[in-house]
Amino acid sequence: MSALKPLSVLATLALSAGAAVADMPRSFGILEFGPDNTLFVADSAGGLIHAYTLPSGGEAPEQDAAFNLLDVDQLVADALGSSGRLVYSDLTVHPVTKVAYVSVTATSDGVETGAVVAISRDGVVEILDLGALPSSQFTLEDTADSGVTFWRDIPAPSLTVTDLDYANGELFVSGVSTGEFASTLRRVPFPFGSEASSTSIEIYHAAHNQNETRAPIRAMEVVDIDGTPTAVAAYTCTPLVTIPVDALADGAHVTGKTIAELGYGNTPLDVISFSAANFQGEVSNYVLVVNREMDADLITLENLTEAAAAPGLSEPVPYLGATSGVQTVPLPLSGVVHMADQDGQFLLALRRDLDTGAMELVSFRKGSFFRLSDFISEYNFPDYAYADDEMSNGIRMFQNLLKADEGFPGQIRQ
Amino acid sequence: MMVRASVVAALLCAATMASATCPSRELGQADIYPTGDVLPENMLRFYIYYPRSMGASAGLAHIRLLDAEGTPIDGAFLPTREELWSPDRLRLTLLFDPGRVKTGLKASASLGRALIAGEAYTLEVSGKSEDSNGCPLGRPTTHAFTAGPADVDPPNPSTWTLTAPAAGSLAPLSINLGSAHDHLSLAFRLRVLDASGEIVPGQIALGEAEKSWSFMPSRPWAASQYALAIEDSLEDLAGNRPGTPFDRPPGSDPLPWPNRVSFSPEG
Repeated sequence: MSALKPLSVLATLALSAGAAVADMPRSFGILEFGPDNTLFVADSAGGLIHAYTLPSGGEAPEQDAAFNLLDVDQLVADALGSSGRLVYSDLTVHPVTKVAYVSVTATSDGVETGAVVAISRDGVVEILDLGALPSSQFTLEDTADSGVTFWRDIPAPSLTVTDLDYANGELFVSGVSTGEFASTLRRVPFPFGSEASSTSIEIYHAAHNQNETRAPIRAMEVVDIDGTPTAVAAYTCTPLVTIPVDALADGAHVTGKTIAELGYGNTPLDVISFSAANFQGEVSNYVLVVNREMDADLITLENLTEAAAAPGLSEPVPYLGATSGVQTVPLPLSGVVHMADQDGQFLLALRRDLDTGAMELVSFRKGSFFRLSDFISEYNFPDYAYADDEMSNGIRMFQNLLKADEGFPGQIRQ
Repeated sequence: MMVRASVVAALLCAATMASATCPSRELGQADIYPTGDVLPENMLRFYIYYPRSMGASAGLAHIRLLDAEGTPIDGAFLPTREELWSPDRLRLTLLFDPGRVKTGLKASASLGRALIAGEAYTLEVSGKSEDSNGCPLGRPTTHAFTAGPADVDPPNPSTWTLTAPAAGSLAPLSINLGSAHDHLSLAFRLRVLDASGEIVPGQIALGEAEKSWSFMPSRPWAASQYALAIEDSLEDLAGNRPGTPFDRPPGSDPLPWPNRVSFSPEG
């Protein structure tokens, strides 16, 4: 593919192309799909959110299937033609084609090279030609020009976007100010152009026994809770808060309801909502909070709904490190850098192999939330014989399913 | 195929710029805010203003907080996935880890505040910080200061002293704030409104250590009533806002404070 052209050729092209390409992000941050093939790219350095219209025509895959790419760094480095350090800012999945979209920045000799890349299940990496796509932009800076100048040239505070979520015709934008430090949640109607609203959010943080207005939302998702669109937002250290979207009026100061303290010393990475069948085939809706330092927290929508209807936490946790609030199931998702809902049967993760440091793009079957090939256990030995009882047959069939998912059909045991 | 040469070229244009020859003279020093030489031990942030648009690696990696012996203090600033640069990459905001600023937190209990009242410190921006062309600043920038007692008092405009200008003049409206305030707040969160509530155009200047604020109108003052408008997001150096201290226990109500202070230029 043309992305594999040698660096020297690209450098020559750069000289002839000039410095500026219109509508290109200066930084490549959070990604989110909107309606009609729209891909939102948060560009904190440019103080913008870009909305790109991707070419239509991509087809849905014939069936749900797992990603099993165990060295994405190499694939991406080859595509970018960069040998620098790679930092992955976000991962999302195209709602139709189920292709992974990743924002990535390569840093080499202090120079950043950023891109949004599309990665297919078979490992083909394409750099999106964002400059050639139809696009619109939303400006994050909200300090109006009032004819007032300052004692020196100072840039206005802008927003570094921590998360985006598109729901019901609006883009929800959470962030930290590049100047001030306030938890701001913006509602931006899409298509861009209508008035956006900006709301400051206060929460009660039971682990800190403080009302907090300054801590930024780190990850969020708008979830339909009992018919009410509600932002489910996770903060550092790790309060989980619900905020009905209707409360987010412009200029309002809103107190979110703290429904859980998930644990201290942790930054939440992603909040994902999805439905999945359990081992009995019953379909339930879930919200998953993926964490950097801790287990991921799986919450049923049923429990979340109950917690959102209750008064919320108002007492400090009994001891440092205690958790409280809505019931969660810890999931063994360590090393995950970003996670997204993939399709009916899988979640997709960028995951760092903790031994080799390799970045993987791998799917986790919903309901199991683990990858069999991560483990060497007794079952792996060729002379292991599954017993012929109901439980052993169940384990064998489940393991066979995961072996097929993860690219080891030859190891299926009859 | 989604790849076009122009885009790949744009992605790499910075790489070609990096090979440019750096000027032999120094690029200039950075400016550090707040500028005071006594700063509260619970201060929330430093701002670094660079003379040039800076490169990808210029941030936290090239900034150190040193104690009186010159030993770097680890973990003082909150690492964020994306550093808090202004869009033009001329200003970097450094947040002290709020877990170490607030009382009663794990990080606060185990690590303590990064600053201790009475101790001397130096914030140092390395001269090796590189601009977007890969050229180093040259000389380090330092700001020596002493940590003062924690500031837990919300800014209260009713305690500010306004010196009203003369009607018909371009003389500044001067306000003694009594204590240091966040310089960005002073730039963006205070405005002068005319009798009809419109923002008066003009220029803001800040006094020593950001303890005073003055405003020179573009047109002479009228002999009518004006108001200083204060937004509730105005902060002092410790993140206290009018009515609400940074460390606000639950159940405590915001204190009353005036968001308008009237004044009339006298003829």
